[in-house]
Order: sequence, then structure tokens, then C-alpha cells
Amino acid sequence: MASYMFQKTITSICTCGLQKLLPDLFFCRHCITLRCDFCVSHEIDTTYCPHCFENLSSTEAKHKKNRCASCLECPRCFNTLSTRSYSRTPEPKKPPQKMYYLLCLFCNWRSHEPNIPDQPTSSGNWPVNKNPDDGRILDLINYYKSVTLKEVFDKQKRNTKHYGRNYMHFLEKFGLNAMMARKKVGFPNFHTDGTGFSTSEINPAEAIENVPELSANTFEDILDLKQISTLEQRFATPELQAENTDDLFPIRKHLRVKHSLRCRVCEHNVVKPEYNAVKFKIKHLAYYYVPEIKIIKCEPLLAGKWSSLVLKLCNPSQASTAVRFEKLDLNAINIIREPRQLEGEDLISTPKQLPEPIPIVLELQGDIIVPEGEIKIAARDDTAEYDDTNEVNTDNDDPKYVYWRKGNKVALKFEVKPNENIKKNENVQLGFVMHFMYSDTMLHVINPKQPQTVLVPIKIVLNLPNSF
Amino acid sequence: MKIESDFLPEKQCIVIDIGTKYTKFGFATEHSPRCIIPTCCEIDGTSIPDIYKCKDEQTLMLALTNFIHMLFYKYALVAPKDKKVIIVESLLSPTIFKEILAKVLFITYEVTSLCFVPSHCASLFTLGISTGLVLDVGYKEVILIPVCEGVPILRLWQAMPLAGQAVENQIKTRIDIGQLSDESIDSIAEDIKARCCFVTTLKRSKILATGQSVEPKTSDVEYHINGERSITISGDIRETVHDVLFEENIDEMSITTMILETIINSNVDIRLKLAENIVLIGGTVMAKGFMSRLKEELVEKLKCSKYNNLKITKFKFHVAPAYENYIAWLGGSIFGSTNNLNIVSQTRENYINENYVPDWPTTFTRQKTE
Amino acid sequence: MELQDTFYSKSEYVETTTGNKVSRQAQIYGSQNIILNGKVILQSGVMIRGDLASVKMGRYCFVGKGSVVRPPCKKFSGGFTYFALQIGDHVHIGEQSVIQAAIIGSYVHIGKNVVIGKRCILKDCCMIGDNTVLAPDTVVPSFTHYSGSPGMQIGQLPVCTQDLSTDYTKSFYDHFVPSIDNL
Repeated sequence: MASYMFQKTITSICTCGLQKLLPDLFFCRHCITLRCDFCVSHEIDTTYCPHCFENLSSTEAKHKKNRCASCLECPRCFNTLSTRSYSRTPEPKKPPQKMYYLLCLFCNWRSHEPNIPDQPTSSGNWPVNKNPDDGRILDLINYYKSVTLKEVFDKQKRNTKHYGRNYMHFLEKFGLNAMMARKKVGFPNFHTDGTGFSTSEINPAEAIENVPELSANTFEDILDLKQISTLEQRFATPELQAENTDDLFPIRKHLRVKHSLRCRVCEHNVVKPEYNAVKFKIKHLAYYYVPEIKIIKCEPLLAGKWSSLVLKLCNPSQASTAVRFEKLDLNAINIIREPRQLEGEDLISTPKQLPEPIPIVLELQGDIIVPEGEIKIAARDDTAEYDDTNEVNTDNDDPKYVYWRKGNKVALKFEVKPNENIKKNENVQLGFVMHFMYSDTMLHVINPKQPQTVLVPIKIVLNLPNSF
Repeated sequence: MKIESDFLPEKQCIVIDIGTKYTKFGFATEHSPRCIIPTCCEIDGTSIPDIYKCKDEQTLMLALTNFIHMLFYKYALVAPKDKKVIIVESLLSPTIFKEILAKVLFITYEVTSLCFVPSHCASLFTLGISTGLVLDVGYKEVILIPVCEGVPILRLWQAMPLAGQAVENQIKTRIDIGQLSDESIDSIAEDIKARCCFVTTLKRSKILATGQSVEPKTSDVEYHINGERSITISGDIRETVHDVLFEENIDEMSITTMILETIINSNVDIRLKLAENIVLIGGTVMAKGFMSRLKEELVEKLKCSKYNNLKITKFKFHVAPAYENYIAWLGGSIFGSTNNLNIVSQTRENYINENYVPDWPTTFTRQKTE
Repeated sequence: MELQDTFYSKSEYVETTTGNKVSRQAQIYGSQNIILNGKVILQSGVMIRGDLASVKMGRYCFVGKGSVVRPPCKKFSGGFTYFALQIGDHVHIGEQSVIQAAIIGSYVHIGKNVVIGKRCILKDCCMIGDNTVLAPDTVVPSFTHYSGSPGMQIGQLPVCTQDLSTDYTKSFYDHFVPSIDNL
């Protein structure tokens, strides 16, 4: 499964122009087009810790700086740390106390290395290193905030007219205005007689003339590279880029998110995960609607000669479908199609700007003959594997194109001819358009009608491996 | 629970500093970035090691979309919709990059407002001063722009490709790392540069340049590659790779001369102030001994005939309350906590109507030519 | 590509009523503690240590050649105990792997040469790439793709992983046919 999931033998072209494998594509049921990761908007559903699976709300995550409170990572190899305990008797009369320390099971880093004291509880309050320059930076932030507020205040003061010396109580009559709101929040140094706004004081930094020099033993010291942290280890905690591996502190584990995806054009949800399981509330993937194509047999490809190719189509939906094939027209490939809708549904007005589709640049290296006419594929039947009698209607099949048929699968014969100038061991890229009949099974509350069927075109690109 | 950043502006503001090699990302009013990650991304399985090197607009747009997606959904864990964004950028970054970044942020990710802050001005926020000579030694190039009373003096800009990449190239030519893929060799060279090398004193450098050995001799280092084999990095290489930054090229330019040229070409009244307020930012500056070596070189160069007339006797350097590789980010964060953000940003509605992003140094608005 | 038929010699494999196909060359210890829920394939050289603790496997599982499935142990002050190993449905385990996990969910795909450390927990719908080493006590969340040593997340799996896994394991079982010429 691993190789076939990532091998780009058969890809489809999404509406936005990118080539993607079928399991990576989504199908918007309202626009009746393909969507992919790139052209769908992501929303954050839940934040969770990848180790303890604790779900956090977005405000909690924001306060905790997107880090889990209980899980810690080894600063050397970034593997999750486990706690180990041992018994200690502090005094002969007191009962033995259990002390806990942190251990990395991969690289054997212990919390004793940066001299973190052992904690008496297993969920212990492991210390977090503080940035030594915190105070200075906070002063700077407050200073600049007050400077900009002073500018705003000065501007306002110039624009307002003075009705008397103390105009504050006039403004008070008319409700809380901006200045009063600021005072309420507790902004510093606001003079009530309205004469001025004094800013918080700060000492501008002093430049030094005697810069720190290289220490004398830099030259002769023998470097032990295991003691010096790598850049990756340093950047894990940007505010304390410790050079010595002994000074590296354990890092709180970073949280992950579950996305829910929404079509940009019609604003309907395409994928919505469920709270705690692998299931999904909404799961509109192309894999469940578009017939899946797999290569069964491909005769060795020869430049300039026709070879046969057998493709298997599998219908994943609960309704029977029909497919029709067409050649891929490179000139018309970039024409953007308007989102279609089913009858009775309003086209949602989209005044917002959408990202431009990417122009498709394809180089077809051969010719392909596709089956003519419409080929029906039966609906997917889950009980078929237990039913021995497979009734298959093969009367209308054209034996020239249909190889075999079983349940909701059908094998079709195609003919391919690579170009004359194809190089050795180069993959042959071919394309065709498959139109499949999509039956809309959504319930229309306003207009209860028969389920409608729409023919949806899917552009398929084949990348056939070639070894001659 | 004491939360220092409790007073957040109405909407959370995100500060991003996209450097050539590393991107610093975090929230405004915080004291350090949430993450420092390499500026590379993946499009459909193929990795793009350097976003700035994308050849055409289409790839750049895809790369930036994927990169911003990763920043928001993997590190920030917030949806970019309805957030304010500050981008700390270098004043010399290409316009096409800025325009595509604005397009991606406004159209694909629907942020509320966007503000581009030049890294040189932002760095001065972290010090509380308004005049300074800011030298940004990054990965691809070193950029020097003096800032006077908060305004960058663009006509005195200096830039040279003498930065982290030059040092790594030196390491690659002088040490035989072996037959490995390009990315592995790059990452090994970077690791050697960061962990084993340092910037030696001027006196030692001069002696070593003539080929003689100097006492005390720098020790060699055993460097293990992939746990399979090890190479020895001799002491001489360890201390002299950074000298490429101070070597003068054919036009007699190096980092030292850049600073002196700027001072000479500036107005007489600010020369002294600039010389006594030098600010060093950027990752390469964090190499041990860089600041003291730069000072020695400057003092030495003053004796040269070209700069004899400068009435400067001493150079003073600033030390910021943060590590040099994220000083510019911190400046952006401090800027983001002020009210000015609302005044200077470009909002989404304005962008959709007018379709351009204003440049910081321009005093008049620039219309995009259709 | 469509899966090709994998042939096995009929004399080598024992097929049970519930559809389990167990190779005679597989080393099964403590078979009374092992529960195979049906349509499970155990190839030759597979070692299942049911003698240490109970081992449960769901339907349509596949264990590749030479793999070891061993319940994990935990050290206590008194000694150590082994706990049960539970594997869900539709799990594919590659060749030469060593599994000492505590719980493996359903719809999981484990590659070749993988070492899964003691007491690991693999949730449903995850994938472990080839040659991975998972440190003990690792928890692998759903829809993730882990690889490397130590195993770290390198990618995400698509939403339909459950159906892809089901299709793959079912069709693998259907294509695992006895070769005709051997009697």
C-alpha cells in the first residue's frame, strides 16, 4: 500500500490546476467539481497533544503558547520523555518518599544533566527556563506603546476645541470616550487637566567600546563536539540558545491540530472530523464518488507503435454510474469552467476574490485511443462478497473495449502509442478525460425531485513507466 | 497565572521575518519568536531548499503558499483569517517576492492587514535609540543601512555577498567532506561553521595568512559524518574561514570598508553618532569573536590614507537584549504591540481595490502599473 | 497498479475455517493465548510469542516474512510483567520487523525492517515507513506517517486511509492464492 499511495502513476488534475492522486482530492457536492488541499480553505477544528491526546480549546492553547502542560520532549533527540521513579528515604524516621526524574528512552538523556532537581510528584512542576532579558523588553514595549499613544493624544488635542480650562466633565456627560476608556484600563500617566501625556521613561541602550574579546583558552581547548549543541537543538528554544548540551532544558511538546476543510467557492464543508475518533462527520472525498482507475496490465511500450493497456475502473458510490471517455485537448485545458449547480439550488454569490487557478502545463508524449460510447458500471454492493452468484449483465458490452466485468468493477482496453522521439527509461505521459455520471443523492427540501444526474468531467494523466 | 502578554491588541498580530536561510515566526508583544525554522518547503513531494531561489512566479507562489500554510497550521496553530500580519523584511528584497507574498496572504489566506517593516529600522526598537548604523550579516549577503531618527538613509546603502554562505563556501573548498548529495554537504558545512569555527584576532590572522604558525596553536577537531566516518578539521581552518568576510576584494571592499564608506559619505553632523552606535544583527554575527575582530579591523583601517581625514577615534557597539539572529524579529514584535500598526498597515479591502502594497521608504504611494 | 497474485505452496500453509492462512514454518509459541480473528496471513519465519502474554489480531491482518511479534514487558520494583498485545483489523506488517508495541489500532500499515519499541501505542489509520525505529513508549497519532530513527512525523495521510487500507488488505488476501503446480 505504501508504494501505491505515493506513486504518481495515475493522477487527476484538480480544478485549480494541480496534479494530485485520487485519494488526495475532494469532491464538492454543490459545485460538482474536484477540489484539492491547495484550493480548499482550512479551519482549525481542535488542538490536541500528539502524546497524551488531551484536547485543548483555542483560548487555552493560546495561553499555553501551543504547548502541552504535561508532556515534555528530550532537547537532544526531540523524542518524548518518560518519568522514572526511585525511592528515597530523606530521614530514617520518615516513610520512604518516591522521587521522579525524566528520562529519554532513545538517547538516554536524563533530567540530571542540566541539574534539574527531582520532583516528588509524577506530574511534577518541571522548571521552565526564563528569558533573562524579559524585564528590559517589557520596558521597551511599554515605552513604545506610550510613545505612540502620546502621538495619538497630541493629534486629538490639536483637533479638539477648548471650551474652557477643564473640559473633561463636558466629555464625561456624553459617555465614555476613548480617553476615559484608556484611563479605565489603567494606562500610565494621564493628566486629568488635559495638559499633557507623559510617556514612561526608558534608558536608551548604551553602546560599549570595550567589546568582549575571545577568551584565551578558545585556541587550545579541545572541542568535544558531543558537548556543543547543534543549530536545530538551539533553535528549539529561541530565547535561550544554549551552546552547551548540558544546559539544554526539556521542551514542552508542541500541539497539533485537526483541520476541517471548506470549499472556497460555495462555503460548504468538505471534510469535518469527529471529536475523538477516526471517523468524520462530513467526508466528501473524490475517492468515494469518482471511479477509481488502476492499471492491470500494460504491454511493454515501444516508440511509435501501438500497445494495449488494460485499466480497471471501480465504482465506489452506492448508485450505478456510466463513464464516457474523451481525448484531452491541450488547447482548451486552461479554460476555467463556471461552478455548475444542480437545478433548484441557488448559486451562492461570491463577491470575495478567489485565488487564481494555476495554468496547467502538460506535455503529452504519446497518443491514446479511448473506448467509445458509454460504459455502465454497477453500483457498489457490500454484500457481494458473501453472495456467490454474481449476476452480471454483459449484454450491452462492446467486446472490443470491455475486457471483463465483475460487480462494480470493469476492465477496459486502451491503446497507447508513445511518441517516436521518446528517450530510454523515460516515463510516458498521456492524458484523457473521463466523464462520469454523478447522481445527486442530497435531499432537496424545497424541491423534492428525483435524484438528478450530472456528467462530470475529470482530467486524468497517466505516467506510464517505461523500460525498453 | 501571570501572563505578560495579556494585553493583546484587539486581534492577535503575527510577526514573520523571512530570511534567506531561516524564518523567525511568532506573535507580537512576545519576547522571542515561537520558532526559527529553515526557509524551505515542499511542493507535491519535491522539496525546495530555498524559496528565494524560485525561478518563476508560479513556483514562487506555490512555494510561498505551502510555506505560509506550514507556518500557520503547524507552528502557530491559528487560522490566518482575520489576523494582522507584520512582515519584517530586508529593504533590498525583490519587489516580486513582496508582491507575491502580499497576494498569497491577502487572497489565499485572507489576513486582515499586512505591514512590511524594514529589518534595519525594527532593530533599533529593541534598543530604545533612534539613530544607528545597522549591519545585517545574514546568509546570502551583508546589508548596511544607517538609520537616522527612525528614517533609513537609503542613499547610503551598502551590500555585499560576504555573509554566511561565503563562509560555508570557504569550508567546502578547504575541507574535503566527501561524496555526498548537495543538501547533505550544505548542512554539514553549516554545522561545521556553527559548532567548530570562530573568528580569530587580527594579529593572528595576519600571521596565519603569511603561512607561518602561531602560538598558541588552535586544536584540531574530529568531525563525524553520518556516524560512518570522521574527518579532521585542522585548527588553522577553524580560525581562518571567517576571514573571507574581512578580506578585501578587487574593488578594495570588505565589511570594514563598507562601514567606513558609509560614514564618510554621510552628512558631517551624524558621522560621530553613527560611529558610536553600530548595531550588528543577523545569524553570522553570532560567531565567537566577530564583534571584537570587526572593531580591530575598523581601528586598523582608520589609519589608511583614504580614511585619515575622518575625525573618528573610537567605535562603539550595541548589545541588544536578544540573540542577534532574531533582533529584527523582536523589533517587529515591539512595533506590533503599538498603536501605529493600525495606521501604517495595508488592509485587505484597500489591497483588493488598489492592488498594491506600499513600500516603507516611499513618501508617496506607488500605483501598480497594469 | 493493481496487485499481482502472490503464490504460496499449498503444503506450506495451513488454512483454518475462519480463513486464517498460517505457514507451517512460522514459529508460534503459546498458541492457546493467540487469537486470530479471521483471514489473517502469517508468512514463513514469523515468530509470535504467545507464551509471554496474550496476542490478539484482527481480521485481514498480514505479517510478513521473518517478523517478530512479541508482547512488551515492564519492569517493576518486584520484577517484570508482560502485558497483552492487541492488533486491530486490516493491519499490514512488513518483512523482518520487530513489533513490541502494546496496542496497534486498525488500518495501520507498517513497513519492512521496522523496530517498534516496547509499550508503543499506534492509533488507527497511521503508517510507519520502512526502516523506522520507534523509541519505547512512543504514541503515534492517527493519520500520521512516521519514519526515521527515532521515528518522527514526516507527513500526513489522506482522510480516506481507512478505505484505502481496507481495499488493500482485502485485495491482498484475495490475491494470496495457492500455486497450482504444487500438490
